[in-house]
Amino acid sequence: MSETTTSGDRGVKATSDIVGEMMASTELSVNAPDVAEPVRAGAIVGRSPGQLAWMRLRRDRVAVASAGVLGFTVLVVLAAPLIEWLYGDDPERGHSELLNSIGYPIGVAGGASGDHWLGITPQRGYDLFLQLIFGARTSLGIAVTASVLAVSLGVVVGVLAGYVGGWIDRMVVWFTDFMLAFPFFLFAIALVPSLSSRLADSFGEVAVWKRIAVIIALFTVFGWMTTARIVRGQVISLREREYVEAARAAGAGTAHMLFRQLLPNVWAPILVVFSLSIPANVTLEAALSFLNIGITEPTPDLGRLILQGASNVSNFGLIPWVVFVPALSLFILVLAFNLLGDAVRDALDPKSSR
Amino acid sequence: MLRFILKRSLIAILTLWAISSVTFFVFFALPANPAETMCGKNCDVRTIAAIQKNLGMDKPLPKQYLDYHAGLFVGRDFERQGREAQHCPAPCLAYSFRTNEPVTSIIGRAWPVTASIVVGGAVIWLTVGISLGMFSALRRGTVFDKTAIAFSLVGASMPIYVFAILLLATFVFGLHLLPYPHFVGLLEDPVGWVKALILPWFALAFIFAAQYARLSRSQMLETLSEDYIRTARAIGLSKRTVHLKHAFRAAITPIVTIAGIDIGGALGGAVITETIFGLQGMGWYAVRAIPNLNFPVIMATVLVAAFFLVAANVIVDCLYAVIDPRVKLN
Repeated sequence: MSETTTSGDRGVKATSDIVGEMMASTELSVNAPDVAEPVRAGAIVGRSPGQLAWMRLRRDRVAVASAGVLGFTVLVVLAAPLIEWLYGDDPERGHSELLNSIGYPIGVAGGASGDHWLGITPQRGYDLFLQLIFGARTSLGIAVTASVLAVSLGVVVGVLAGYVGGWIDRMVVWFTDFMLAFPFFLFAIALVPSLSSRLADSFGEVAVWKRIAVIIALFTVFGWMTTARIVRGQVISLREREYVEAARAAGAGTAHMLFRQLLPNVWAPILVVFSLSIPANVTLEAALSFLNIGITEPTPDLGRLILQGASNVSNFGLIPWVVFVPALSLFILVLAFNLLGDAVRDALDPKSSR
Repeated sequence: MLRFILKRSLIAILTLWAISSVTFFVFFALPANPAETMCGKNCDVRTIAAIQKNLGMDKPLPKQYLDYHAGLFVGRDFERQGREAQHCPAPCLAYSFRTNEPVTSIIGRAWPVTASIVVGGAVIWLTVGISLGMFSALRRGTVFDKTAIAFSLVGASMPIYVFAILLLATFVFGLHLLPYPHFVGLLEDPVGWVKALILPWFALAFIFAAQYARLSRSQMLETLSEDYIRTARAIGLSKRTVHLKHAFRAAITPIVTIAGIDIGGALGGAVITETIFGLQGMGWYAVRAIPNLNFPVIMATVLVAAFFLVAANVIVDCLYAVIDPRVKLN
C-alpha cells in the first residue's frame, strides 16, 4: 500500500479499504494447503498462524534484504553519538575555513577528505556524513514515534466503535470521514510554525523537543483514521462469530473479550498498516522540513538536507554530493520500508497478489 | 439518484462549514499576533492597535467569525483607519494582511497555475499509469511486467521533492535543455506554457503513475481471476472483448475513486511541486503566508483545498453509481 507514502501532495485515503479487504481473508488463508511447510515423515508440528507468517517472511529474499538495510540504518542511527565521537567532529559545527568566499566547499568532490568523508555542505560548512546520520536520526525518531501513537489511537478508536456500536459507532464513522476531508498537508504546514511559536520561551527560542512534539502530535491527530477504519471493520465482522458469542455466553468480561478474543485476530492488518505508515511519515516529515517548516536549524534533518541540495542545484560540481547523497539516502530508506511492508502483508496474507 | 446527489451535497456543505469553523478558530484564536509580526521590532502599542483595527482583529472572536462567514455569502465592509470603509463583494475572503489585496484576487491568480500543473500532470499519470498497469497484468510474468513492477516500486518510494530535484539537476542545470520553469498563461503563449510546465507535469506524473500502475495491475489481476471472466472466455468471446469489455470495466472502478480524490486533493495546491519549481500557485502562496501569520490567505487556501477535496468526493460517489451497476443508492 505504498501509494500512501509518496508525497505530501495527497491524503492517505482509499488504501484503507483495500488493506481491510485483503486482511479479511487472513484468518482463513493460514490453513490453505499451498502455504503448509514440507512435512517430514512422522513429525507433524502444529504451528500458529503467526509462526507460519514469520517463516514465510524469512524465506522472502526481498524482505530479508530490506530488513537488513533497515536494521543497519537503525543501528547506525542509534549509535550516532558513538560514531560522532569516533569520527571526531560535530554535526552542528560549521567549517567556514573549508569554504571559499561564496560559500562553496574548497577542493574536489564537495570537499571530501579523510576528515570529512562525504565532504561538507555549502554555506554552513557542516560535515555531510554526520549531518546525514543525525538527520536520519531525527527523521526516523519522529516517524516511528508518530506511527506508534497514531496506530495505537486508531486501534483504540476502531475497537471502541466496532465493539460498542450504536450511536458511538455512528459518531466515530462521521468523525473519521470529517478528519479525512481535511486538507491535512496544508493544515500541517500552517499549524506547525504557529503552534511552535506559542511554545517559545521568554527569549523567543523554541526548544527542539517542543518542535518535535508538535510534529508528532499533528501526525498522530491526522494519522489514526486509516487504522481506525480497518480495525472497526474487522471487529464488526468478528463480533458475531461463534467463538466470540461462546465467550460472551460463558460470561467473559469486557477486557477478556477485547484482549483475548478480538484483538489477537486483528493484529495482522494492524501490523501491515503500521509498517506502511512509517515510510509515509518519513516522507511527510521530510516534506515539512523541505519547506523549511518542521525541524529548523541547527538540528540536522534529512528533509532540510535535501532542501539545501535543492538550493544548490545550479552548482553542477556539487550535485553528486549535496543533491544526490541526501536524496538517494531518503529514497533507499523509504524503498526498504515499503518493500518490507509489502513483504509483511504477503506473509500474513499469502493469497494477495502484488 | 437526484435525492442521493442532494443528500450527498448537503453533507458536503456541512462538512465544509465544519472545516471552515475549525480552521477559523485554530488560526484566529491562536494567541499569535499578526499585528506584532507586521509591525516589526520597534513598534509602539498605538501602531499595533491601529493595525489590528485595520485587520478587523480588534473585535471579539465570535463577531469576527460571523463577519468572516457572512462575507463569504453576502460580502462585507472593512473599516479603515482615517479612510473610507472598503467594501468587499460577495465571495469575500477578506484582505491579505501583507499586501491588502483582496484574497479572492490572489486566488484568481494562483488557481489557474495550480490547475495547469494538476490537469496536465493528471492526463499523463492516468494514461501512463493505468495502461502500464493493465498491460502488465495481461502479460503477467514477462519482462514487460517485471519492468513495470520495478518502475512502480521506484516511483512509489520516491518522494516528489527528490524526483523534482533530480529532474531540475538533469534537464535544467545539467543538460540545459529546458528553462527554469516560469509560468505564462496558456492563451498568451501556448509554447511557453508547455515549456514551463513540462517538468512539473513529469515530476507529478511519475510519482502518481507509479502508484496507478501498481494499483491497476493488482485490480486487473484480481478481476482476471474472477469466475465471470472464465465464463466469458468459455463461451468463446474474443480476447479483446473479454479484456476490454468485461475485465477492464470492472477493474477501473476503484481507480476512478482514487483518481477523483487525488485530483481533487491536488487542485487545492500542489504545495511541494509549486515550491520546487517556483510556480506561484495555491500551495506557493500558502507557504509564503505562513511565516507572516497572514491568516486570511492561509484560511482561504485551506478552504479552497477542502472545497475541492469534498467536491471530488461527492462527484466520485455519484460517478460510482453510474459506472458500477452493482452500487445501489439509498
